[in-house]
Amino acid sequence: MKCIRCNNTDPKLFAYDQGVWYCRQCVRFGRMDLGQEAKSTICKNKPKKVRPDLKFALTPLQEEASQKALSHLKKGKNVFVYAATGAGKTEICYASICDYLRQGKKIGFAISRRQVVLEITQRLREVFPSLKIVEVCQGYTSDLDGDIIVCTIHQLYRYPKAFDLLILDEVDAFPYAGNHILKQFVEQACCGQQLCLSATIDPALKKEIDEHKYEVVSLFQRPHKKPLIVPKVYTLPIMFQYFAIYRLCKKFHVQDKQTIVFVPRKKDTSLFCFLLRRFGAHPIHSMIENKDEIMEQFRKKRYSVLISTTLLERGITIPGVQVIVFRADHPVFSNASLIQIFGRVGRKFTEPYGEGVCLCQRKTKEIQTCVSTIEWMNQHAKYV
Amino acid sequence: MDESTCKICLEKEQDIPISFFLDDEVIVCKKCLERFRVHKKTYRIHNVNYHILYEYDTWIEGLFFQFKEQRDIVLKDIFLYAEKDFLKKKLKSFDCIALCSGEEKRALRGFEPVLEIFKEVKEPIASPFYRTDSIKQSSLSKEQRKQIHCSLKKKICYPIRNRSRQLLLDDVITTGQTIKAALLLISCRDVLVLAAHPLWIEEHADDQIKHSFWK
Repeated sequence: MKCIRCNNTDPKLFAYDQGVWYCRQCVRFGRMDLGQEAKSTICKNKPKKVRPDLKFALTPLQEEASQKALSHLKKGKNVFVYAATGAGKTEICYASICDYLRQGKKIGFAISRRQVVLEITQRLREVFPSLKIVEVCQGYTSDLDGDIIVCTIHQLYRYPKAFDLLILDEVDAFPYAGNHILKQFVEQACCGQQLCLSATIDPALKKEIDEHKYEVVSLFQRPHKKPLIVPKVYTLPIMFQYFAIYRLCKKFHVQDKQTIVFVPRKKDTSLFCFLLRRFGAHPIHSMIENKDEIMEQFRKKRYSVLISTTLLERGITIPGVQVIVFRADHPVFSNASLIQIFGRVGRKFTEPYGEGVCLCQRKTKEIQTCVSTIEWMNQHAKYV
Repeated sequence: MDESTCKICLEKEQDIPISFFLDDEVIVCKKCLERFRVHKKTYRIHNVNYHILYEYDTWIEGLFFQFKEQRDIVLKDIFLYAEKDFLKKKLKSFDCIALCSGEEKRALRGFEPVLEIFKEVKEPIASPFYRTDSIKQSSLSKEQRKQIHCSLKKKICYPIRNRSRQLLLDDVITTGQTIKAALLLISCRDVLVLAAHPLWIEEHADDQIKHSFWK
Protein backbone atom coordinates (compact mmCIF):
# COMPACT_ATOMS: atom_id res chain seq x y z
CA MET A 1 0.00 0.00 0.00
CA LYS A 2 1.39 3.40 -0.95
CA CYS A 3 -0.17 6.85 -0.92
CA ILE A 4 0.65 8.58 -4.18
CA ARG A 5 0.38 11.99 -2.53
CA CYS A 6 2.69 11.65 0.49
CA ASN A 7 4.43 8.34 -0.31
CA ASN A 8 3.26 6.81 2.98
CA THR A 9 3.75 3.03 3.08
CA ASP A 10 3.14 2.43 6.80
CA PRO A 11 0.06 0.17 7.05
CA LYS A 12 -0.73 1.63 10.50
CA LEU A 13 -1.34 4.98 8.82
CA PHE A 14 -4.03 3.66 6.50
CA ALA A 15 -7.68 3.32 7.49
CA TYR A 16 -10.43 1.19 6.02
CA ASP A 17 -13.81 2.73 5.29
CA GLN A 18 -16.64 0.99 3.44
CA GLY A 19 -14.52 -0.93 1.01
CA VAL A 20 -11.66 1.50 0.47
CA TRP A 21 -8.37 2.20 2.15
CA TYR A 22 -7.27 5.79 2.62
CA CYS A 23 -4.12 7.44 3.86
CA ARG A 24 -4.30 9.07 7.28
CA GLN A 25 -0.86 10.66 7.15
CA CYS A 26 -2.00 13.34 4.71
CA VAL A 27 -5.77 13.22 5.36
CA ARG A 28 -5.86 16.77 6.72
CA PHE A 29 -5.14 17.90 3.16
CA GLY A 30 -8.18 16.03 1.90
CA ARG A 31 -8.88 12.32 1.93
CA MET A 32 -6.87 10.35 -0.61
CA ASP A 33 -8.25 6.87 -1.25
CA LEU A 34 -5.90 4.17 -2.48
CA GLY A 35 -6.12 3.98 -6.23
CA GLN A 36 -7.52 7.49 -6.47
CA GLU A 37 -5.69 9.80 -8.81
CA ALA A 38 -4.68 13.20 -7.54
CA LYS A 39 -6.46 15.88 -9.55
CA SER A 40 -5.06 19.30 -10.18
CA THR A 41 -7.37 22.26 -9.91
CA ILE A 42 -5.78 24.41 -12.59
CA CYS A 43 -5.80 24.85 -16.32
CA LYS A 44 -2.81 25.15 -18.60
CA ASN A 45 -1.49 28.61 -19.46
CA LYS A 46 -1.49 30.23 -22.88
CA PRO A 47 1.86 31.65 -24.04
CA LYS A 48 2.23 35.23 -22.82
CA LYS A 49 4.89 37.80 -23.67
CA VAL A 50 5.52 39.86 -20.58
CA ARG A 51 8.26 42.06 -19.23
CA PRO A 52 8.66 43.01 -15.59
CA ASP A 53 7.66 46.57 -14.82
CA LEU A 54 10.44 47.48 -12.39
CA LYS A 55 10.78 50.77 -10.52
CA PHE A 56 14.55 50.26 -10.50
CA ALA A 57 16.64 48.41 -13.09
CA LEU A 58 18.45 45.31 -11.92
CA THR A 59 22.08 45.89 -10.98
CA PRO A 60 24.67 44.24 -13.26
CA LEU A 61 25.25 41.56 -10.64
CA GLN A 62 21.54 40.86 -10.28
CA GLU A 63 21.19 40.67 -14.06
CA GLU A 64 24.10 38.26 -14.28
CA ALA A 65 22.70 36.05 -11.52
CA SER A 66 19.28 36.15 -13.16
CA GLN A 67 20.63 35.04 -16.55
CA LYS A 68 22.78 32.34 -15.00
CA ALA A 69 19.78 30.91 -13.16
CA LEU A 70 17.72 30.96 -16.37
CA SER A 71 20.52 29.29 -18.29
CA HIS A 72 20.64 26.40 -15.79
CA LEU A 73 16.84 26.06 -15.83
CA LYS A 74 16.82 25.90 -19.63
CA LYS A 75 19.17 22.94 -19.41
CA GLY A 76 16.63 21.21 -17.21
CA LYS A 77 18.59 21.70 -13.98
CA ASN A 78 17.23 22.66 -10.59
CA VAL A 79 18.76 25.86 -9.26
CA PHE A 80 19.54 27.16 -5.79
CA VAL A 81 19.96 30.92 -5.50
CA TYR A 82 22.12 31.62 -2.46
CA ALA A 83 21.70 35.34 -1.97
CA ALA A 84 22.11 37.65 0.99
CA THR A 85 18.99 39.05 2.67
CA GLY A 86 17.72 41.98 0.64
CA ALA A 87 19.93 41.13 -2.35
CA GLY A 88 16.84 40.78 -4.51
CA LYS A 89 16.22 37.03 -4.76
CA THR A 90 12.67 37.61 -5.99
CA GLU A 91 13.88 40.04 -8.67
CA ILE A 92 16.42 37.46 -9.89
CA CYS A 93 13.50 35.15 -10.72
CA TYR A 94 11.78 37.56 -13.10
CA ALA A 95 13.73 36.59 -16.22
CA SER A 96 12.93 32.92 -15.61
CA ILE A 97 9.26 33.74 -14.94
CA CYS A 98 9.01 35.66 -18.22
CA ASP A 99 10.72 32.86 -20.18
CA TYR A 100 8.41 30.17 -18.83
CA LEU A 101 5.31 32.31 -19.40
CA ARG A 102 6.43 32.91 -23.00
CA GLN A 103 6.32 29.16 -23.51
CA GLY A 104 2.86 28.89 -22.00
CA LYS A 105 4.20 27.08 -18.96
CA LYS A 106 2.74 27.10 -15.47
CA ILE A 107 4.54 28.80 -12.61
CA GLY A 108 4.13 28.29 -8.89
CA PHE A 109 5.76 30.34 -6.16
CA ALA A 110 5.69 28.44 -2.89
CA ILE A 111 6.67 29.96 0.43
CA SER A 112 6.88 28.54 3.93
CA ARG A 113 5.11 31.43 5.67
CA ARG A 114 1.62 32.73 4.99
CA GLN A 115 2.53 36.34 5.79
CA VAL A 116 5.19 36.32 3.09
CA VAL A 117 2.76 34.86 0.51
CA LEU A 118 0.64 37.99 0.80
CA GLU A 119 3.64 40.29 0.55
CA ILE A 120 5.17 38.51 -2.46
CA THR A 121 1.80 38.45 -4.25
CA GLN A 122 1.52 42.21 -3.86
CA ARG A 123 5.03 42.72 -5.22
CA LEU A 124 4.43 40.46 -8.22
CA ARG A 125 1.17 42.25 -9.04
CA GLU A 126 3.05 45.56 -9.14
CA VAL A 127 5.75 44.10 -11.38
CA PHE A 128 3.44 42.11 -13.69
CA PRO A 129 0.23 44.19 -13.80
CA SER A 130 -1.12 42.40 -16.88
CA LEU A 131 -0.91 38.94 -15.30
CA LYS A 132 -3.37 37.22 -13.02
CA ILE A 133 -1.43 36.55 -9.81
CA VAL A 134 -3.37 34.61 -7.17
CA GLU A 135 -2.49 34.04 -3.56
CA VAL A 136 -3.47 30.67 -2.11
CA CYS A 137 -3.13 30.32 1.64
CA GLN A 138 -5.27 30.21 4.76
CA GLY A 139 -8.14 32.62 4.22
CA TYR A 140 -7.45 32.86 0.47
CA THR A 141 -8.68 29.67 -1.16
CA SER A 142 -11.61 30.77 -3.31
CA ASP A 143 -9.51 31.41 -6.43
CA LEU A 144 -6.97 28.69 -7.10
CA ASP A 145 -5.77 29.39 -10.62
CA GLY A 146 -3.81 32.16 -12.29
CA ASP A 147 -0.80 32.91 -14.47
CA ILE A 148 1.36 32.74 -11.36
CA ILE A 149 0.13 30.99 -8.22
CA VAL A 150 1.71 32.16 -4.98
CA CYS A 151 0.99 29.77 -2.14
CA THR A 152 2.18 28.33 1.11
CA ILE A 153 3.94 25.00 0.68
CA HIS A 154 1.01 23.28 2.45
CA GLN A 155 -1.28 24.36 -0.39
CA LEU A 156 0.82 22.52 -2.97
CA TYR A 157 -1.29 19.41 -2.29
CA ARG A 158 -3.91 21.03 -4.56
CA TYR A 159 -1.52 21.07 -7.52
CA PRO A 160 -0.22 17.58 -8.39
CA LYS A 161 2.06 17.69 -11.47
CA ALA A 162 0.92 21.26 -12.10
CA PHE A 163 4.01 23.45 -12.28
CA ASP A 164 6.65 23.57 -14.98
CA LEU A 165 8.59 26.00 -12.81
CA LEU A 166 8.22 25.82 -9.05
CA ILE A 167 9.95 28.65 -7.20
CA LEU A 168 10.54 27.74 -3.58
CA ASP A 169 11.34 30.61 -1.29
CA GLU A 170 13.04 30.13 2.08
CA VAL A 171 13.53 26.39 1.64
CA ASP A 172 15.34 26.12 4.98
CA ALA A 173 12.48 27.67 6.98
CA PHE A 174 9.86 26.13 9.25
CA PRO A 175 7.57 24.36 8.53
CA TYR A 176 9.04 23.03 5.27
CA ALA A 177 12.53 22.22 6.59
CA GLY A 178 12.65 18.61 7.76
CA ASN A 179 8.98 17.92 6.95
CA HIS A 180 8.85 14.90 4.66
CA ILE A 181 5.12 15.31 3.86
CA LEU A 182 5.65 18.85 2.59
CA LYS A 183 8.69 17.66 0.68
CA GLN A 184 6.47 15.09 -1.04
CA PHE A 185 3.97 17.81 -1.94
CA VAL A 186 6.79 19.78 -3.54
CA GLU A 187 7.97 16.74 -5.52
CA GLN A 188 4.39 15.97 -6.60
CA ALA A 189 3.60 19.55 -7.59
CA CYS A 190 6.61 20.10 -9.84
CA CYS A 191 6.74 18.43 -13.25
CA GLY A 192 9.63 20.60 -14.47
CA GLN A 193 12.33 22.53 -12.65
CA GLN A 194 12.70 23.87 -9.12
CA LEU A 195 14.18 27.27 -8.39
CA CYS A 196 15.03 27.50 -4.70
CA LEU A 197 15.84 30.73 -2.94
CA SER A 198 17.38 31.40 0.43
CA ALA A 199 19.92 33.49 2.30
CA THR A 200 20.65 30.62 4.64
CA ILE A 201 21.42 26.94 4.10
CA ASP A 202 20.41 24.16 6.48
CA PRO A 203 22.28 20.81 6.65
CA ALA A 204 19.68 18.96 4.54
CA LEU A 205 19.93 21.53 1.77
CA LYS A 206 23.70 21.54 1.97
CA LYS A 207 23.68 17.78 1.48
CA GLU A 208 21.55 18.10 -1.65
CA ILE A 209 23.83 20.82 -3.01
CA ASP A 210 26.87 18.63 -2.35
CA GLU A 211 25.12 15.82 -4.24
CA HIS A 212 24.75 18.21 -7.22
CA LYS A 213 20.98 18.12 -7.12
CA TYR A 214 21.08 21.90 -7.55
CA GLU A 215 23.19 24.32 -9.53
CA VAL A 216 24.18 27.18 -7.23
CA VAL A 217 23.95 30.85 -8.16
CA SER A 218 25.32 33.23 -5.50
CA LEU A 219 24.75 36.93 -4.90
CA PHE A 220 25.84 38.67 -1.70
CA GLN A 221 25.59 42.31 -2.73
CA ARG A 222 22.48 44.30 -2.00
CA PRO A 223 21.28 46.53 -4.87
CA HIS A 224 22.23 49.71 -3.03
CA LYS A 225 25.76 48.25 -2.60
CA LYS A 226 25.83 48.97 1.10
CA PRO A 227 26.96 46.15 3.37
CA LEU A 228 24.68 43.90 5.39
CA ILE A 229 24.10 45.12 8.93
CA VAL A 230 26.41 43.30 11.33
CA PRO A 231 24.56 43.05 14.65
CA LYS A 232 26.08 44.46 17.81
CA VAL A 233 26.15 41.69 20.38
CA TYR A 234 25.81 42.56 24.08
CA THR A 235 26.10 39.97 26.81
CA LEU A 236 23.73 40.98 29.61
CA PRO A 237 21.66 39.33 32.33
CA ILE A 238 17.99 39.15 31.39
CA MET A 239 16.90 41.96 33.71
CA PHE A 240 19.42 44.29 32.11
CA GLN A 241 18.20 43.25 28.68
CA TYR A 242 14.75 44.64 29.54
CA PHE A 243 16.35 47.91 30.49
CA ALA A 244 18.52 47.96 27.37
CA ILE A 245 15.50 47.35 25.13
CA TYR A 246 13.63 50.19 26.78
CA ARG A 247 16.57 52.56 26.26
CA LEU A 248 17.03 51.49 22.63
CA CYS A 249 13.33 51.85 21.79
CA LYS A 250 13.35 55.28 23.38
CA LYS A 251 16.38 56.28 21.30
CA PHE A 252 14.84 55.00 18.04
CA HIS A 253 11.52 56.63 18.88
CA VAL A 254 13.24 59.99 19.28
CA GLN A 255 14.91 59.44 15.90
CA ASP A 256 11.47 58.69 14.43
CA LYS A 257 12.52 55.18 13.49
CA GLN A 258 10.38 52.06 13.76
CA THR A 259 11.63 49.04 15.68
CA ILE A 260 10.91 45.33 15.67
CA VAL A 261 11.76 43.59 18.94
CA PHE A 262 12.10 39.86 18.40
CA VAL A 263 11.29 37.68 21.39
CA PRO A 264 11.61 33.90 21.72
CA ARG A 265 8.10 33.11 23.04
CA LYS A 266 4.56 34.30 22.36
CA LYS A 267 4.02 35.08 26.03
CA ASP A 268 6.99 37.48 26.00
CA THR A 269 5.13 39.78 23.59
CA SER A 270 2.55 40.94 26.15
CA LEU A 271 5.18 41.84 28.74
CA PHE A 272 7.12 43.95 26.25
CA CYS A 273 3.95 45.61 25.00
CA PHE A 274 3.32 46.75 28.54
CA LEU A 275 6.91 47.82 29.06
CA LEU A 276 7.09 49.74 25.78
CA ARG A 277 3.55 51.06 25.66
CA ARG A 278 4.61 54.69 25.67
CA PHE A 279 6.32 54.06 22.34
CA GLY A 280 3.20 52.64 20.74
CA ALA A 281 4.19 48.98 20.94
CA HIS A 282 1.99 46.22 19.51
CA PRO A 283 2.34 42.43 19.60
CA ILE A 284 2.29 40.06 16.64
CA HIS A 285 2.62 36.27 16.63
CA SER A 286 0.99 33.22 15.04
CA MET A 287 -1.96 33.07 17.45
CA ILE A 288 -3.05 36.66 16.84
CA GLU A 289 -5.93 36.74 14.40
CA ASN A 290 -5.60 40.09 12.67
CA LYS A 291 -1.94 39.76 11.67
CA ASP A 292 -2.49 41.26 8.20
CA GLU A 293 -4.14 44.31 9.68
CA ILE A 294 -1.34 44.79 12.22
CA MET A 295 1.31 44.61 9.48
CA GLU A 296 -0.64 47.11 7.43
CA GLN A 297 -0.84 49.50 10.40
CA PHE A 298 2.87 49.07 11.06
CA ARG A 299 3.67 49.89 7.45
CA LYS A 300 1.55 53.01 7.75
CA LYS A 301 3.58 53.89 10.86
CA ARG A 302 0.59 53.67 13.20
CA TYR A 303 2.78 51.62 15.53
CA SER A 304 6.30 52.61 16.39
CA VAL A 305 7.34 49.28 17.88
CA LEU A 306 6.31 45.76 16.94
CA ILE A 307 6.96 42.93 19.39
CA SER A 308 7.26 39.77 17.36
CA THR A 309 8.17 36.13 17.57
CA THR A 310 10.12 34.56 14.70
CA LEU A 311 6.93 34.99 12.63
CA LEU A 312 8.46 38.10 11.02
CA GLU A 313 12.01 36.84 10.67
CA ARG A 314 11.71 36.38 6.92
CA GLY A 315 10.37 38.03 3.79
CA ILE A 316 9.19 41.26 5.39
CA THR A 317 10.47 44.63 4.19
CA ILE A 318 9.86 47.69 6.36
CA PRO A 319 11.87 50.75 5.27
CA GLY A 320 14.12 52.18 7.97
CA VAL A 321 13.32 49.55 10.59
CA GLN A 322 15.70 48.81 13.45
CA VAL A 323 15.89 45.37 14.99
CA ILE A 324 16.52 44.17 18.53
CA VAL A 325 16.65 40.53 19.57
CA PHE A 326 15.84 39.69 23.19
CA ARG A 327 17.42 36.51 24.62
CA ALA A 328 19.20 35.76 21.36
CA ASP A 329 20.79 32.74 23.08
CA HIS A 330 17.35 31.06 23.31
CA PRO A 331 17.24 27.77 21.30
CA VAL A 332 14.50 29.13 19.04
CA PHE A 333 17.04 31.52 17.48
CA SER A 334 19.14 29.40 15.15
CA ASN A 335 21.96 31.07 13.22
CA ALA A 336 19.73 31.02 10.11
CA SER A 337 16.96 32.67 12.08
CA LEU A 338 19.31 35.41 13.37
CA ILE A 339 20.76 36.05 9.89
CA GLN A 340 17.23 36.45 8.56
CA ILE A 341 16.17 38.70 11.44
CA PHE A 342 19.06 41.14 11.03
CA GLY A 343 18.46 40.97 7.30
CA ARG A 344 15.29 43.04 7.88
CA VAL A 345 17.50 46.11 8.40
CA GLY A 346 18.70 48.39 5.61
CA ARG A 347 16.89 46.78 2.71
CA LYS A 348 15.73 49.88 0.86
CA PHE A 349 17.68 52.34 -1.32
CA THR A 350 16.26 55.19 0.71
CA GLU A 351 17.21 53.56 4.03
CA PRO A 352 20.28 51.37 3.44
CA TYR A 353 21.59 51.65 6.99
CA GLY A 354 20.20 50.79 10.39
CA GLU A 355 20.91 49.11 13.69
CA GLY A 356 20.71 45.50 14.69
CA VAL A 357 21.18 44.71 18.38
CA CYS A 358 21.63 41.20 19.70
CA LEU A 359 21.08 40.80 23.46
CA CYS A 360 22.07 37.56 25.12
CA GLN A 361 23.28 36.09 28.39
CA ARG A 362 26.08 34.30 26.58
CA LYS A 363 27.42 34.25 23.02
CA THR A 364 26.18 30.93 21.71
CA LYS A 365 27.62 29.17 18.66
CA GLU A 366 24.49 30.25 16.77
CA ILE A 367 25.15 33.92 17.51
CA GLN A 368 28.82 33.62 16.59
CA THR A 369 27.98 31.81 13.32
CA CYS A 370 25.40 34.46 12.47
CA VAL A 371 27.90 37.28 12.92
CA SER A 372 30.71 35.49 11.08
CA THR A 373 28.41 34.52 8.17
CA ILE A 374 27.20 38.09 7.72
CA GLU A 375 30.79 39.36 7.82
CA TRP A 376 31.79 36.67 5.28
CA MET A 377 28.95 37.70 2.96
CA ASN A 378 30.04 41.35 3.22
CA GLN A 379 33.59 40.36 2.27
CA HIS A 380 32.27 38.41 -0.72
CA ALA A 381 29.70 40.99 -1.67
CA LYS A 382 29.68 40.19 -5.33
CA TYR A 383 28.30 37.47 -7.58
CA VAL A 384 30.53 34.37 -7.42
CA MET B 1 4.26 -5.21 22.45
CA ASP B 2 3.18 -2.80 19.72
CA GLU B 3 2.91 0.79 20.84
CA SER B 4 -0.46 2.35 20.22
CA THR B 5 -0.63 5.19 17.73
CA CYS B 6 -2.68 8.25 18.60
CA LYS B 7 -5.44 8.65 16.04
CA ILE B 8 -5.09 12.42 16.10
CA CYS B 9 -1.38 13.22 15.95
CA LEU B 10 -0.33 9.78 14.63
CA GLU B 11 2.48 9.67 17.21
CA LYS B 12 3.20 6.53 19.18
CA GLU B 13 1.92 6.78 22.75
CA GLN B 14 5.00 6.83 24.99
CA ASP B 15 3.31 7.03 28.40
CA ILE B 16 1.30 3.92 29.05
CA PRO B 17 -1.95 5.15 30.58
CA ILE B 18 -4.06 3.01 32.87
CA SER B 19 -6.66 2.62 30.15
CA PHE B 20 -4.16 0.58 28.14
CA PHE B 21 -4.64 -2.29 30.58
CA LEU B 22 -8.40 -2.06 30.20
CA ASP B 23 -8.74 -1.30 26.48
CA ASP B 24 -7.19 -3.05 23.53
CA GLU B 25 -5.95 0.17 22.11
CA VAL B 26 -5.17 3.68 23.25
CA ILE B 27 -6.91 5.88 20.74
CA VAL B 28 -5.87 9.35 21.89
CA CYS B 29 -2.53 10.17 23.48
CA LYS B 30 -2.19 12.20 26.66
CA LYS B 31 -0.93 15.31 24.85
CA CYS B 32 -3.90 15.40 22.48
CA LEU B 33 -6.36 14.63 25.28
CA GLU B 34 -5.11 17.65 27.20
CA ARG B 35 -5.91 19.89 24.24
CA PHE B 36 -9.65 19.33 24.57
CA ARG B 37 -11.22 22.17 26.52
CA VAL B 38 -13.54 20.23 28.78
CA HIS B 39 -16.58 22.24 29.76
CA LYS B 40 -19.09 19.80 31.33
CA LYS B 41 -21.71 22.34 32.30
CA THR B 42 -25.49 22.51 31.95
CA TYR B 43 -27.59 25.48 30.85
CA ARG B 44 -31.33 25.75 31.31
CA ILE B 45 -32.95 27.65 28.45
CA HIS B 46 -36.76 27.75 28.00
CA ASN B 47 -37.13 24.71 30.28
CA VAL B 48 -34.66 22.65 28.28
CA ASN B 49 -31.36 21.45 29.76
CA TYR B 50 -28.40 21.92 27.42
CA HIS B 51 -25.51 19.69 28.54
CA ILE B 52 -22.24 20.88 27.02
CA LEU B 53 -19.17 18.63 26.98
CA TYR B 54 -16.45 20.80 25.37
CA GLU B 55 -15.80 24.39 24.55
CA TYR B 56 -15.46 24.95 20.80
CA ASP B 57 -12.01 26.24 19.86
CA THR B 58 -9.57 26.01 16.95
CA TRP B 59 -8.37 22.58 18.14
CA ILE B 60 -11.78 20.91 18.08
CA GLU B 61 -12.78 22.92 15.01
CA GLY B 62 -9.83 21.38 13.16
CA LEU B 63 -10.84 17.90 14.30
CA PHE B 64 -14.46 18.39 13.20
CA PHE B 65 -13.25 19.67 9.83
CA GLN B 66 -10.98 16.67 9.35
CA PHE B 67 -13.74 14.28 10.40
CA LYS B 68 -16.68 15.80 8.55
CA GLU B 69 -15.25 17.62 5.54
CA GLN B 70 -12.11 15.54 4.92
CA ARG B 71 -14.13 12.37 5.71
CA ASP B 72 -11.58 10.95 8.13
CA ILE B 73 -14.01 8.41 9.60
CA VAL B 74 -11.39 7.15 12.06
CA LEU B 75 -11.86 10.32 14.12
CA LYS B 76 -15.40 9.30 15.09
CA ASP B 77 -13.97 7.59 18.16
CA ILE B 78 -11.84 10.43 19.49
CA PHE B 79 -14.48 12.94 20.54
CA LEU B 80 -15.97 10.82 23.31
CA TYR B 81 -12.85 8.78 24.06
CA ALA B 82 -12.17 10.35 27.46
CA GLU B 83 -15.83 10.19 28.54
CA LYS B 84 -16.84 6.90 26.93
CA ASP B 85 -17.61 4.92 30.10
CA PHE B 86 -19.28 7.86 31.81
CA LEU B 87 -21.56 8.55 28.84
CA LYS B 88 -22.38 4.87 28.31
CA LYS B 89 -23.80 4.73 31.83
CA LYS B 90 -25.47 8.13 31.57
CA LEU B 91 -27.22 7.56 28.26
CA LYS B 92 -28.66 4.18 29.28
CA SER B 93 -31.69 5.89 30.76
CA PHE B 94 -32.30 8.12 27.72
CA ASP B 95 -33.87 7.66 24.32
CA CYS B 96 -31.38 9.41 22.10
CA ILE B 97 -32.32 11.40 19.01
CA ALA B 98 -29.67 12.71 16.64
CA LEU B 99 -29.70 15.79 14.48
CA CYS B 100 -28.78 15.39 10.83
CA SER B 101 -26.86 16.82 7.88
CA GLY B 102 -28.37 17.56 4.47
CA GLU B 103 -28.88 14.75 1.95
CA GLU B 104 -26.12 15.98 -0.31
CA LYS B 105 -23.59 16.10 2.51
CA ARG B 106 -24.58 12.66 3.72
CA ALA B 107 -24.20 11.24 0.23
CA LEU B 108 -20.79 12.87 -0.18
CA ARG B 109 -19.48 11.78 3.20
CA GLY B 110 -21.08 8.36 3.27
CA PHE B 111 -21.92 8.75 6.95
CA GLU B 112 -23.88 10.85 9.42
CA PRO B 113 -21.35 12.52 11.78
CA VAL B 114 -23.49 12.77 14.93
CA LEU B 115 -24.65 9.15 14.64
CA GLU B 116 -21.12 7.91 14.11
CA ILE B 117 -19.74 9.82 17.11
CA PHE B 118 -22.42 8.71 19.55
CA LYS B 119 -22.71 5.12 18.27
CA GLU B 120 -19.84 4.13 20.59
CA VAL B 121 -21.81 5.08 23.71
CA LYS B 122 -25.41 4.47 22.74
CA GLU B 123 -27.36 2.22 20.42
CA PRO B 124 -29.85 2.56 18.92
CA ILE B 125 -30.01 6.28 18.20
CA ALA B 126 -33.11 7.61 16.49
CA SER B 127 -32.69 9.76 13.39
CA PRO B 128 -36.12 11.22 12.70
CA PHE B 129 -35.02 14.47 11.05
CA TYR B 130 -34.15 15.42 7.50
CA ARG B 131 -33.19 18.65 5.79
CA THR B 132 -34.52 20.11 2.63
CA ASP B 133 -31.21 21.91 1.93
CA SER B 134 -27.52 21.22 2.40
CA ILE B 135 -26.27 24.68 3.26
CA LYS B 136 -23.75 24.75 6.12
CA GLN B 137 -25.07 26.72 9.09
CA SER B 138 -21.63 28.25 9.55
CA SER B 139 -21.80 29.83 6.08
CA LEU B 140 -25.01 31.70 6.91
CA SER B 141 -25.56 35.02 8.65
CA LYS B 142 -27.28 35.18 12.03
CA GLU B 143 -30.55 36.18 10.38
CA GLN B 144 -30.31 33.47 7.75
CA ARG B 145 -29.64 30.84 10.40
CA LYS B 146 -32.96 31.68 12.04
CA GLN B 147 -34.65 30.27 8.94
CA ILE B 148 -33.35 26.74 9.68
CA HIS B 149 -36.81 25.79 10.94
CA CYS B 150 -37.95 26.08 7.31
CA SER B 151 -35.50 23.44 6.11
CA LEU B 152 -35.41 21.04 9.08
CA LYS B 153 -38.27 18.54 8.93
CA LYS B 154 -39.42 15.45 10.78
CA LYS B 155 -39.99 12.17 8.95
CA ILE B 156 -43.71 11.49 9.09
CA CYS B 157 -43.66 7.73 9.59
CA TYR B 158 -40.60 7.58 11.85
CA PRO B 159 -41.57 5.94 15.16
CA ILE B 160 -40.50 7.89 18.23
CA ARG B 161 -41.38 6.48 21.63
CA ASN B 162 -43.05 9.10 23.68
CA ARG B 163 -40.83 8.72 26.69
CA SER B 164 -40.14 11.55 29.03
CA ARG B 165 -36.41 10.89 28.92
CA GLN B 166 -35.57 11.94 25.39
CA LEU B 167 -32.14 13.37 24.72
CA LEU B 168 -31.38 15.36 21.60
CA LEU B 169 -27.81 14.96 20.31
CA ASP B 170 -25.77 17.41 18.27
CA ASP B 171 -22.08 18.03 17.61
CA VAL B 172 -21.78 21.82 17.74
CA ILE B 173 -23.94 24.67 19.02
CA THR B 174 -23.22 28.18 17.75
CA THR B 175 -26.41 30.24 17.74
CA GLY B 176 -28.63 27.36 18.86
CA GLN B 177 -31.08 27.83 15.97
CA THR B 178 -30.76 24.25 14.69
CA ILE B 179 -31.52 22.77 18.08
CA LYS B 180 -34.40 25.22 18.60
CA ALA B 181 -35.86 24.13 15.27
CA ALA B 182 -35.52 20.47 16.26
CA LEU B 183 -37.21 21.12 19.61
CA LEU B 184 -40.20 22.58 17.80
CA LEU B 185 -40.60 19.25 16.01
CA ILE B 186 -39.81 16.92 18.90
CA SER B 187 -40.13 18.07 22.46
CA CYS B 188 -37.16 17.08 24.57
CA ARG B 189 -36.19 18.26 28.02
CA ASP B 190 -32.52 17.48 27.53
CA VAL B 191 -29.97 18.21 24.82
CA LEU B 192 -26.41 16.91 24.73
CA VAL B 193 -23.96 18.90 22.64
CA LEU B 194 -20.33 17.97 22.07
CA ALA B 195 -19.01 21.51 21.77
CA ALA B 196 -20.46 24.98 22.34
CA HIS B 197 -19.11 28.13 20.75
CA PRO B 198 -17.63 30.58 23.31
CA LEU B 199 -20.09 33.26 22.17
CA TRP B 200 -23.02 30.95 22.94
CA ILE B 201 -21.51 30.16 26.35
CA GLU B 202 -21.01 33.86 27.05
CA GLU B 203 -24.55 34.71 25.93
CA HIS B 204 -26.03 32.07 28.23
CA ALA B 205 -23.72 32.53 31.20
CA ASP B 206 -26.70 33.46 33.40
CA ASP B 207 -28.55 30.30 32.35
CA GLN B 208 -25.95 27.97 33.79
CA ILE B 209 -27.31 25.61 36.45
CA LYS B 210 -26.03 22.85 38.65
CA HIS B 211 -27.25 19.55 37.24
CA SER B 212 -26.73 15.95 38.12
CA PHE B 213 -26.02 15.04 34.48
CA TRP B 214 -22.27 15.61 34.86
CA LYS B 215 -21.94 13.90 38.24
